[in-house]
Amino acid sequence: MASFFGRNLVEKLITLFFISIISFGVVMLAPGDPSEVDPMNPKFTKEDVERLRKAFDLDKPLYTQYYLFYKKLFTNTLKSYKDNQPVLKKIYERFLNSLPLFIVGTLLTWSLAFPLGIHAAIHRQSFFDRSTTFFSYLFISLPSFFLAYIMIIFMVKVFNVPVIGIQTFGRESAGLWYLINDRIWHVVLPSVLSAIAGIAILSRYVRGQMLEVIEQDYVRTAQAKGLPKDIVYYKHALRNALLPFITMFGLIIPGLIGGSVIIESIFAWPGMGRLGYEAILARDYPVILGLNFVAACLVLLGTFVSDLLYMVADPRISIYGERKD
Amino acid sequence: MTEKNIKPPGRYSDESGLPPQMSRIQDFWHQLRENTLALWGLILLILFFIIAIAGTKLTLGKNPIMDPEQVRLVDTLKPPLSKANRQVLAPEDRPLFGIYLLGTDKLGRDVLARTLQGAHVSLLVGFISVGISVLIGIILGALAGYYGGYVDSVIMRAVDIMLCFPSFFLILTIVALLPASIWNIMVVIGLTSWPGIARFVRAEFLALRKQDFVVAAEALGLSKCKIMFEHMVPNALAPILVSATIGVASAILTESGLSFLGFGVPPPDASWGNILADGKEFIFDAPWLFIVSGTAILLTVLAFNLFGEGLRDALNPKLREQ
Repeated sequence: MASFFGRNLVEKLITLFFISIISFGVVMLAPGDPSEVDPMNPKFTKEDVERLRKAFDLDKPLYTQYYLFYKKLFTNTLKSYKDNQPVLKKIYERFLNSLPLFIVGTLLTWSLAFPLGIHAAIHRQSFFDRSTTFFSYLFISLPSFFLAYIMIIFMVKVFNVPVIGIQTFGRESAGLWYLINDRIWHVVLPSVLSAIAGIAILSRYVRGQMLEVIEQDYVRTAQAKGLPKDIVYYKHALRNALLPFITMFGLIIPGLIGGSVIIESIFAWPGMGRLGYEAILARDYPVILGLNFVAACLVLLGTFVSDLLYMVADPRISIYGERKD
Repeated sequence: MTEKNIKPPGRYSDESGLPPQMSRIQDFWHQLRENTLALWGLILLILFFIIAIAGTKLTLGKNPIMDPEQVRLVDTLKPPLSKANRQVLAPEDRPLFGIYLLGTDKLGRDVLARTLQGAHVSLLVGFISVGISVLIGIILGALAGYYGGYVDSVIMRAVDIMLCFPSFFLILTIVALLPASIWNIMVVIGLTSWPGIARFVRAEFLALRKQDFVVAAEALGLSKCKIMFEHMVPNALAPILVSATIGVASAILTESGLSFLGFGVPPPDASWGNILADGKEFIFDAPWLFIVSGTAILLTVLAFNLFGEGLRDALNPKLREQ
């Protein structure tokens, strides 16, 4: 067990090292310089540029920059170019804002995709199956912001509720009931929108997986010996069909950053995706690289969690990566 | 009464040792025809190609029949089917037949002409970026699957590393830092989306590696390059085709997402993504801008997705036995 953890940790650290090199190289070697963001500003003299370049270590050779950058990141002294705030603190604040969207979105995705997929698989070729198939393709193919704008118009016109931002501005002193209500309305649309594509994709996977299991001999045996359909499907078949999704549970963690850039920009939601977008616009390299690093850590953490879960759930898989049967 | 009499007629149902009754293509077509959604996808795709080709003929060149870049400040934000302003506009500045079939945008440019031009731009973005990622994916996947050992582990580690980046954020970062150009977008999307294809190709190669025809080719002393790319790759084409088809769809979506954030195909070139992104400012005053380009993207991406899934079912002999 200890060797499994040890080897896994070493592997992940090596991966992380290469990721840090690649992302650093990509950002630093790109044409343009952070000190050129505001070239038209008359107060910005040549000496200022030099001073800034020195303050941010931009005048040193690349490998020194790389070393200094990650040293600062790990000692939490890395400052944003834009407002001189510590990068990790900024990311953490935005992470807390992204969290409710992510939790509600994930709950929606997982609680809807499974019933839909299972029902479609059991009633294969039925009207329900055909229509869920069609709608999942439709939602996978929609640009998310196209749907977002249509939904914003719909929500505002029909329900007359606020949808942009994290809460209504200037109403912070209102009663508790109002505040809770306000927060909920603001969370609904962005989380539904970020869940829709997930529901469409995940329900297809569930359906495929369920179909595969239903075809197997032991399910036929269970049917042949006269068990009620519900027990055959939901007890015998479902348990094995669910197995691969345990691994997916670890892989949703990185979704915190990746998919949220567009949705958070539309809804002016001060989360991690929007932080990344703002950092890109301002060429705020520490924040861009910091976010990339956090995202990579989340992915690696996710794969680690899913390995562990899989090991716990499927006794055929040993911790040494080989099958025991 | 043996079991094979019950099986449906098809290429793989024959266990008698006789050659199959249908050629591969006939069989493939037979399978595809049964799948209504995939068939619709194919029809939409053909329609889309015709529109894109017609679009290049109509909107490109020095004096195009429909000029997507013609600015008409007297006719801004006209709804669909409205007539051009005949008093002010010179005859050569007017749209085809003097009618804006799909309306105009904030600069009075003809939305129909821009949508037609956008069709071929979007197609170009989709195909070139997928071409790049397929090329890288095939080469790396083939090397990993054929050689195995440490070549395999190095390439697979690279795949793992690529998969650790949040892909849209990475694409956005690179595109935003590089100077704006349509070629950069294609190359960046291509360079970031090969890991999936490399994995598929590797898996196919691992299975093909031990088959007789590969062993025979090796025994004949063919060069390794020839064995990999002339003999093995054609046998691994099915999953490549499927993921390439779906890849085109996601590349078009990615381009529209980039356009929305202001880093898409730069003006004056029109792509569906940037028409849609421009339209968002006028969503109440000129909803047709938004609806026309959004529907165009939706239908095209849908067609690629449906056809891709249809391909997967039709090319997969394991699935059809059920």
